[in-house]
Amino acid sequence: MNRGRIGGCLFFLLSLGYGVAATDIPTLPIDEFEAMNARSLPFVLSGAGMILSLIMLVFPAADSEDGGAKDEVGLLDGYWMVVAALIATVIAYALVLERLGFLLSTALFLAAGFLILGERRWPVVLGLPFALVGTLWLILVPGLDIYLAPGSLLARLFG
Amino acid sequence: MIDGLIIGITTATTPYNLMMVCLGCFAGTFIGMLPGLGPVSAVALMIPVTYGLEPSSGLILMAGVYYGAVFGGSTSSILLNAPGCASTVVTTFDGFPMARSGRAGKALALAAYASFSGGTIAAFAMMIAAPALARVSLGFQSADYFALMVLGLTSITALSGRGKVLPAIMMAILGVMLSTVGTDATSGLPRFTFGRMDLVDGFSFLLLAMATFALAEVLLTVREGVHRQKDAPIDRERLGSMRLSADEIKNVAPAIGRSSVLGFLIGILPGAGATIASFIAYGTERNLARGEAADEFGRGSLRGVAAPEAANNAASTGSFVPMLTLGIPGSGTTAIMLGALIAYGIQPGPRLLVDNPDIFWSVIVSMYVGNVVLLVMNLPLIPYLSKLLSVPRPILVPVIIAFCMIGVYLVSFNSVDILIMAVIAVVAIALRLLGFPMAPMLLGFILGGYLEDNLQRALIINDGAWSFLWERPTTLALSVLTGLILAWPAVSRSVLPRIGAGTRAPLERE
Repeated sequence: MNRGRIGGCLFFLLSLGYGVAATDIPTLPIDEFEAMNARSLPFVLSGAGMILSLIMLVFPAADSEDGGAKDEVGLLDGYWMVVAALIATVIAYALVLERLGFLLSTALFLAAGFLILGERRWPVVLGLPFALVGTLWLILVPGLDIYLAPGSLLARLFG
Repeated sequence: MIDGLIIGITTATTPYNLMMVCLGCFAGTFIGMLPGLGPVSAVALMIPVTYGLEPSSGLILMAGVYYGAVFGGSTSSILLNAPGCASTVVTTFDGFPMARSGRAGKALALAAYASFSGGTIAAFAMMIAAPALARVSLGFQSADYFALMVLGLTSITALSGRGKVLPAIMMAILGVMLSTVGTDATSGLPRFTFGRMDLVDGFSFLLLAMATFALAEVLLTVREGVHRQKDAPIDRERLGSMRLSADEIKNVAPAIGRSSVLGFLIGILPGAGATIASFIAYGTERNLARGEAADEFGRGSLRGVAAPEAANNAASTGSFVPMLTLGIPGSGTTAIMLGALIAYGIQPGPRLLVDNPDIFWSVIVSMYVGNVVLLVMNLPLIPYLSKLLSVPRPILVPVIIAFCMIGVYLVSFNSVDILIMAVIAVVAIALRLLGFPMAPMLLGFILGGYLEDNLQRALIINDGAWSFLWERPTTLALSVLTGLILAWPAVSRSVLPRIGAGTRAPLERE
């Protein structure tokens, strides 16, 4: 499957969805007499996106030197599981940040990240995150006077 | 101009701002050395740091990071044959062969001197060109700005390279789509918020920049297995002498001069950037070389290192001209800087010279200082900076990701932004793998709001008629230029090969 066609397909669906969502944009009564309102640009973008996507679907490498011969997809190559694990860790970090607080959640994220990427020296995995995050906390809170909430769960446990 | 220079020198040479230049150059050089993280990522990573600074200090820091990263990219290109950024790919053609033949130190020194020369010549040219362009553009009205925004979007897409024009246009459209999320500036009505309060203010520029250029880039390097690689430590014996003889200087000096001017002129074109400049400069010098000098290209030619290095630094400086004077970024990196300036509440463009001359001139003066710092500070530090390359990737990568997340969190203190960043990074990875460039999306995002506002204003002034596109001479000229730039890829494919038939084939690595 050609990369151009996959991209064209995705963009067509995106532009179509965008155009449909644009119909939900409310308008003011006076917009009837205006040349342009809150929906105008979204409709233009949606139309342009769909037209260009169709061009890309029909001529997937229309402006490519080799006619797209080298564009065959190797999307599954690479360490995808590691990438997915890192992204899951980012999402987990976002979900626990306000509960556990900056210090603990960031240190846990770093430790998890080190483990996912293959670091197995336990002093590094357990000690380095707290050292790094502690230094950063000192720079941000006492140094730059930025307030970082301690975490709702910890506040409830320790008052 | 003299008044402006005095303001600039006074602002840029305060101890605090000098420290910012040094810090920026140092941080940029280190980040630029890391394969996978180029000037765009380096500047994006710095944005949260600059939020606590004065606008002039923040911009000076980011500018230092920018050309520090371009310089740092050449270090890993020469030592590891792994370009730190796209604009230093060409440096590998002759830089790595020089390193392999025991002349790594000479190559690094030459890259430093060429970068210094290119950046200094371009800073001088910018000192003259920028105020002139700013004065011309003071007469612009909404219709002209609209045409200029369209020109900016078109040129960055049309100059994206073969096979990339259509994807670049689509990414620019996606960027404008993302800019419509939030509250419409004119009517105050919500658009694409889906009832969520978190989206009422739209996407923050920092979030988009971090997601697409920092987080996505790092994750792509993980996908390629960078965390499994072990680089050989770099020590002084491997580097060799860093001295250049008088004959060698005489050999490369004309190439540096030509490439600096060429790089600056290419850099001021919105969308062209340092990468194109480095390729064109290398090709030009290769075509100009005769005899033995021509045969050396690709095998360790001094000119082959000097030309792209001078050109990419000159182009990096040149890309500031449209950003500061017209409010149109000249490259992806200056697009990020533009977003940062807007976050400060400062509108780059012709009024910047009038309303904030200290920022305008201090950036120009800081470029002189930054180039000196790069040469004086970084060149002796290269052997030590190179050791930093041996920090294990399993340690470095999570730290960089944590930096991204913390940066985004510190802007809004809303953890939902981190989730949005993760989603956008996943989409950005998918688009990158499908061959879609990111810089046009960022440019579309930044310019989208201005495009809509200026179009609306132009239509109101013109009673809803579109005739403003051809009635105003400036608008007409910009529209015609837009059309020509859009037609350029087709012309270059069909007409130019016939004109150039029989001349020497361009860039082919031997």
